Amino acid sequence: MRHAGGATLRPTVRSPGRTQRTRRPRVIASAVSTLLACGFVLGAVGAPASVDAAADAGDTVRYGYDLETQFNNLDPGVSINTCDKNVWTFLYDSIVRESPGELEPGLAERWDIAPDGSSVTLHFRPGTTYHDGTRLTADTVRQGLEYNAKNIVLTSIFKRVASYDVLDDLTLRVNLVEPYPLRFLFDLTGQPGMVVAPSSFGKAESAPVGAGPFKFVSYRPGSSLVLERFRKHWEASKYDVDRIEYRQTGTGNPSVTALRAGDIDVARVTADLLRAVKLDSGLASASRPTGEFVQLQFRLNDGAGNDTPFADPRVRKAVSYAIDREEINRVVEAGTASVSNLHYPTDSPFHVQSLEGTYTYRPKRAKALLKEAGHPKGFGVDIVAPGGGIAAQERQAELIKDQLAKVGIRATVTRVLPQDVFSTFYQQRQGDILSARQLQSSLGPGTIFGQFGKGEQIPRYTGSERDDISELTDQAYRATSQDELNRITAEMEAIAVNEALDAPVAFVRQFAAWDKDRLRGRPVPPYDSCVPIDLRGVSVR
Amino acid sequence: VIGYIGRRLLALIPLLIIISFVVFSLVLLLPGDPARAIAGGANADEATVQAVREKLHLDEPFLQQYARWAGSGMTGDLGESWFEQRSVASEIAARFPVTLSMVAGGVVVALCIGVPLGLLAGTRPGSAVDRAVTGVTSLGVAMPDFWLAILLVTVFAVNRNVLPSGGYVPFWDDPYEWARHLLLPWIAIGVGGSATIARQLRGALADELESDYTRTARAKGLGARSVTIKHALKNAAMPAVTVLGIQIAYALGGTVIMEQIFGIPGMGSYALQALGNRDLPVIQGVVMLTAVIFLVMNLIVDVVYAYLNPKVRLGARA
Repeated sequence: MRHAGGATLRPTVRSPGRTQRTRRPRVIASAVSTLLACGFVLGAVGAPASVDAAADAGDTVRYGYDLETQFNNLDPGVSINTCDKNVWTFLYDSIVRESPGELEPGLAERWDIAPDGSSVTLHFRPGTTYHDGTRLTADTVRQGLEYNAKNIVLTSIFKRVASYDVLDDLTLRVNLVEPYPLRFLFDLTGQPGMVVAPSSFGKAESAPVGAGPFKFVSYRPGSSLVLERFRKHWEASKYDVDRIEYRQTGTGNPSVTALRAGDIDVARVTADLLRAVKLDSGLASASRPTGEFVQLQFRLNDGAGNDTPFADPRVRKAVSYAIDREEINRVVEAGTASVSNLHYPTDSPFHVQSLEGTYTYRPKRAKALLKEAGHPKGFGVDIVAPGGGIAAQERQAELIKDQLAKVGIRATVTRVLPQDVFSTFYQQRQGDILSARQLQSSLGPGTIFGQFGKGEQIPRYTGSERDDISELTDQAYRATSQDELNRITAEMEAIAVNEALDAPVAFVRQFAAWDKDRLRGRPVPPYDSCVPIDLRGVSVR
Repeated sequence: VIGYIGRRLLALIPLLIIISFVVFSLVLLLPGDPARAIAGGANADEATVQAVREKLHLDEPFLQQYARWAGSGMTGDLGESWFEQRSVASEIAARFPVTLSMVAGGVVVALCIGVPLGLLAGTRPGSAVDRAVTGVTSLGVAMPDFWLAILLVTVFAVNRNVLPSGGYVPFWDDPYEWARHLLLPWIAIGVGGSATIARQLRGALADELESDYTRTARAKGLGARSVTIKHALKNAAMPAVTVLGIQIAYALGGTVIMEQIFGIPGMGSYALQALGNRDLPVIQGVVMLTAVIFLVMNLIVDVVYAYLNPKVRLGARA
């Protein structure tokens, strides 16, 4: 009976069966643990090993930077992201450097411009070597420039070069297609003028060799990048840190979090995070004015031959008077920006002080101008603003909407992703006003020409092309001296401001924050967001 | 089983072709011009934009572009990133293990917390322990993982300075640092998963322990532990296995938030960056990998199901 009963019961109890019952859980356990183990092992083993181990702390500055989204490639001859200068500046230096609006010596200690502007002669520093020990000569620089010229995004710049003449070991003459010498020299301050050593051609994206103040040690994409001081660089004595280790740190809040956690020593921060930095007694911060400015761009016609209200200068001026720049600065930039109605900041050689204050907050004057222009009850406009999480830009657009409402202009705000601004506002001609941020052009006049010059993309789509601006720009590009360039650019600025071709609002500042227990000295924030924090004179405690 | 797996793997091929075609079509419908973005944006001159367009074959008809990509893809060549000029396949090969190690650790945490909690509550339904576990797991399910991640960073990295706030160190560079950098992501991923596993296991286990066969097992004299572990748990594990499979697939394909918070160079951040740039080859590569992960995870869950419950016939389901 027991036996029979047992036999009857077992199939139900076992479900699915004794032998399998004992085996399957083990198989499943094995399968799960194998999967997990595979995960760990693959994760551990398969992850890319760096060329070298991460730098030890010691005299290493740990620089918080968003390598993942902001950095593209170590090779300027390949990269399409001009903001990779955040790294290249240390690796390659540049043939000529730019102090805001003016040229400074770099790898070339001086230069001459032919009287007719048809060529530029570069004189390189004697004794300069690349990181691999080879000498930097006029011929290696020529090769470097020709290497960069193959980069598809630089071809339009190098099209301006007719030929190169190596005059001697350290002298290179660049013959230009058009007599635009200063324009070419300013181009050499950026990506086109950051030359790779010939030994590194085609390999610089993984093993770059340059002639900058720091040499390459290792790079782990999206994670870290380590550079080591190059003691033969002409400015080596100005650097006190042995290594710079870029550490992946997201832009914005993550930078401050990483600083507070002690994971990094220095990073660029935004205005809205300054308060958080100042609340932490272990952190310090510094700021500097930049040429990057907040502005409103107007659409003057709809592309089908119909003028918009902004074709009338009185309406554009009305908007310029209707904007309370101080309020925008206070709300959007935490009061840190420099309010202005100009395109060049006070430290720029193109700044025209007499034009400052042309447009201040005068809503009554704005209303009067609107009435004069035939819009006594105002009109409706659509403001396009780069959105998608850019809090400052979104706040700015909303604030401008409210300010315009006070003079009768009824605005709506359309948010688009920054990468879609071109297709939306320009190509598809959606919206009447673009709430934008502009970087300074590498050559001063370009800042205005890019917006109002004939043949340029922006004015073509906004209907803002101006013959007078184009003619002055041509003269500016032909200039052979800084004084001449300054005078012509000032004339362009006067036209842009007096005609209210756009509405500049304020020049923003760049900020750097650092761990003051770790670093001695004062890191200097960059002039624009595409160049690194200046670490000259900074050392590790 | 092997024949079944083989048939299922073969069935993936047409699915993957359809997925790749749909994704290729959708991305082309997105606004924005990658050629212009690559050429320098709004101020780029038209000749450069056109040159970029030709170089990337963006001027070719859609089907020709698709055929070109699919043809290379079949040989394992997923093309080159338009923006980084690096091979998509090698970039994925470098980043996938990072994501995998993050997710695998999260699953271990989820299992280590979720299974004991589920067992504890499921074997004592209605008790104070059960109510406590239900309360805790409700909190775990309701708590967004990104919020927990930020909380963990604030407490352990900013306030206590005992763990890094983010970043990644490869295992071979420094195993200790590798674990230290991944510990917070593991917990952030694992806690939510553990709550779900515990709740699934608790419900199923309570049901199983009330069923006829477990009652009979107890009647014939088997101890409570033996009944629970050897009999009930196996059947109760099925819903938890399903959830676990889906969670692993989702986690592998969607770690973007965690990777952003912890600054981990994995697949999620790679995909996000590519989407922002309209970097079609990268988007294609990542989506295809994600699709494969989902399909393979479904297959694994089905196979595990069959082991757990022989009533499930693999061949019949194929």
